[in-house]
Amino acid sequence: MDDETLITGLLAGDEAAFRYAVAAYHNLMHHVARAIIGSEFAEEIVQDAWLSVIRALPQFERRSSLKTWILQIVSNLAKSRLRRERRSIAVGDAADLAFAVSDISFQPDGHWAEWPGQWHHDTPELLLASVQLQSVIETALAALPELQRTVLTLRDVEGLEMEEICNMLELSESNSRVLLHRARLRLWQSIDKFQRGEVG
Amino acid sequence: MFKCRDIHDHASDYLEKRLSWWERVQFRWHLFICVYCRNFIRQMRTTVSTLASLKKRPDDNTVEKQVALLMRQRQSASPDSPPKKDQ
Repeated sequence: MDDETLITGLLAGDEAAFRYAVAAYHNLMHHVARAIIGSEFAEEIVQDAWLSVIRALPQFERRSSLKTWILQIVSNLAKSRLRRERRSIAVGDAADLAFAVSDISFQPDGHWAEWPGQWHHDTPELLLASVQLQSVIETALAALPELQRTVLTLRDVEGLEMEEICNMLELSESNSRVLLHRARLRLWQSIDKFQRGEVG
Repeated sequence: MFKCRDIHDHASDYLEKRLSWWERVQFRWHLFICVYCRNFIRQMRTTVSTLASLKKRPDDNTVEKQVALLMRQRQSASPDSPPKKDQ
């Protein structure tokens, strides 16, 4: 469903449009809320955000996609709640950004300590066709620190621009790039480990 | 010139086209001479593309039902609520 159809449906109170919007955005809104304020207040923030979305929808000026606009509302609500609670942003793993990008080891001359091998399943279709691999990917995603998972989800799953992600999560561009790269490396490592085990 | 470690460290910046011209030249030169890093970059691309196919949906429609109900109740309960401006 495109944005215009969805907006028209929501404004008309169409139940199918509500269901579609919730299925498409609810989890994502949770990701953003949790990354900013933590799980304690996330559900409340997301519910408030839905109400704000419905109330403000007639004034939506289409300067961004509906998804970006909704996530920006979540982000704004979470940040103002954060200020009310007088807490600092729940950056979690952002504190250790100065450390190494990953735990992958290299030889002193900069070569791989363990060479990346060939993958048996080497396309997205093949990766997702394997139930076990799908489970490996989902487990790896769930094990990521909150902020890494949010940046990865917003960028790679949802396709948002890095600039939008930085604004929503109040991250500097360099920090968001490190978080994205770390998350991708962890996913790659999990898939690689599984493929080596399977092939070997 | 770039070593394997540099390829590992800058892979996402390369995929996101955020390297400077000179860094990109060094990156590509290393890929040209190193089959392992070519494998690595191919696998990183595959990982990223796989994530794009992973649009998550709620596990069941309980959340959908709850939120849809909540929204409709609140919408009809407060018809005169002033709309917020576009954020």
